[in-house]
Amino acid sequence: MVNLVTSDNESFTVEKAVASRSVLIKNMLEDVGESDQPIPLPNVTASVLKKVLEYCDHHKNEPMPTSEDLAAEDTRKRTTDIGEWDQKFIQVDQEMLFEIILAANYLDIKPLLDVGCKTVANMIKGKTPEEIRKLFNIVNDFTPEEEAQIKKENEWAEDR
Amino acid sequence: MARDALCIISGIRPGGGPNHLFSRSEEERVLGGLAEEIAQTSQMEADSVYDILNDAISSLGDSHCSHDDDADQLYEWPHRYENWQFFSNCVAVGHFDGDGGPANVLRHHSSKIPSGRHIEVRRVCEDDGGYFSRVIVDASDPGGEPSFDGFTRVKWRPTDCDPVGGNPNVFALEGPFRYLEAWVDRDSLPDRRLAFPNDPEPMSFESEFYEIVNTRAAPRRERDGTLPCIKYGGIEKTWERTQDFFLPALQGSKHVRRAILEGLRGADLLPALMRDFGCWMCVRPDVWPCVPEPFELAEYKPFAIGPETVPGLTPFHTLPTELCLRIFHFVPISSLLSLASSCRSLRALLGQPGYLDRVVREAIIEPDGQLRWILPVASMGERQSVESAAWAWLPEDTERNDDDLRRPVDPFLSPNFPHLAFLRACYESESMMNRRRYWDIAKQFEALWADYRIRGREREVTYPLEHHCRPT
Repeated sequence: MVNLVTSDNESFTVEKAVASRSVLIKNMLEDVGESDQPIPLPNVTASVLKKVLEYCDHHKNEPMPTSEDLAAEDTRKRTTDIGEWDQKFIQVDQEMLFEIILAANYLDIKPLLDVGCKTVANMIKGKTPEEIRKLFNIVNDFTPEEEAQIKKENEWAEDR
Repeated sequence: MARDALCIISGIRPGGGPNHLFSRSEEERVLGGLAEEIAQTSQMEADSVYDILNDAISSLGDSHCSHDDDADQLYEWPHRYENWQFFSNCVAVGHFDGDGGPANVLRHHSSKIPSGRHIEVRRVCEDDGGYFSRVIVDASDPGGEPSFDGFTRVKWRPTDCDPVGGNPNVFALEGPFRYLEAWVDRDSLPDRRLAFPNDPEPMSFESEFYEIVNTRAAPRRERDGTLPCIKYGGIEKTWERTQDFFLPALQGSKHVRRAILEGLRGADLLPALMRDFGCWMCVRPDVWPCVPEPFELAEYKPFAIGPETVPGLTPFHTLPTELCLRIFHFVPISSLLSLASSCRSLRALLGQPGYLDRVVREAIIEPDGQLRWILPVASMGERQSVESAAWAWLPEDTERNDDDLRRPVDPFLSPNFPHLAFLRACYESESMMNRRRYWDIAKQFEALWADYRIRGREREVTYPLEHHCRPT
């Protein structure tokens, strides 16, 4: 078992196979060898780690991506398709979604990072500026003249 | 009565689709409708808009209309990139008997659509409602009748792909077929053993294509041969037994309205008018844009932030640049511009010098990028024309060679290449618009391919055993 300590000082004891989905933790475990020492995760809060560990637990029996797989992942699978379980897992509020992306990046969990990024990308796809404002709670701070300029600048990328 | 069959990939008939905007009898109704529509959203009178449109159309007629007063087919579309051999030559896929029809093979397959595993692929031309009369053979083929159609030496032989009666044999224009072959990323799809445990061996591209188009739940339209589940961009609507007029593809007056309000008149209005009529869907898709004069870099300069405006931070500002770029990699350019247009701070983020250029560059050069359609397709022999077009976009002093002095560096990889400006020019080019349409269609086929590899056939198809009669 591995003991993880979050930035808000909460401890999580998890199976090594679960924690090792994180390349960061896996490398740390390999570096320190067998040890009871808790692993501090100063960039992750308890609520986010709990969610991340849920993902790691579900995927714990899958083979770890090799460096070749990761290289291939960069050249393949760049679609916005997300697996069924992952889609349900990532149905979280927006703040948590961006926190998961940051945590997945820090903990070096590439598949989770991809799920998070693709989810945000899918949220943006096909939306108008007004729809994006609503979605991300953004205030329109352009003047009418600026909006007219923007509309003209973007005409070229409109639908055919 | 003549009837056209349409290419199942591009939705246009062999030879290149409609030749005319509309018939003489439709002129008043069409121009009147457009004039009314434009007048409603502008300060102009419908009558004066009508006159402007009529003037533009007349300029087309002067040089391109038939001078036969009895001719109903007026206002011929001035094909700007005509005579593309890949619109004339087609690929026929199926099981053909000695007469070119599918009947013989079906006798051995209990009236089911035969497997795609042993299909034959033919290059054909001179279509007549899907009943191709010429099979193209190599010029060196001793059995080939020496006949020259302007592009290729051909040999006579019938090849029936007419969709009437559920004929499973299928044809596609050679160009769209080669693009489909290049752009459907079959290697990234699940292995076929998932859906076909009893027939798990890999199949050729053509064999799977044959099976997919014949086993969708909604079958090919018998009238024209297109697939109902594919969005062709509206060109398929121009099939009216024959595919002669662009009128059914007319999508409002957006572009011609804009051009009129910008002050364009006469022949200068034609490009906008033809864009509204969807003529670009029949333009050859391999003419890359030239550098516009004057050349302007595509820039999205941040707006000044005065004391009265406090730009709010968005969730994207909590992410490091690399993570934003990772997200934006999956987002189409139009949606990225929408994002940049939502507030000052996001415009400032995406408008940083080189930022959108980097996103576009990755989308072009990465093996599964969304803008891969800009790159040449090897099987179409496009490499040289793309590279010469792209090199013109680079400053003259750009280093053309890397460590190997004989090998030119890919211009799209150069840090000096204006990726965003080039993309903008592609979006404004009719040829590239059509190329992008082919790419969109290929991605729709890729989704069908994935479904076929996971779930298998959506239906078991039967085909009438009686002799397949050629419709008249």
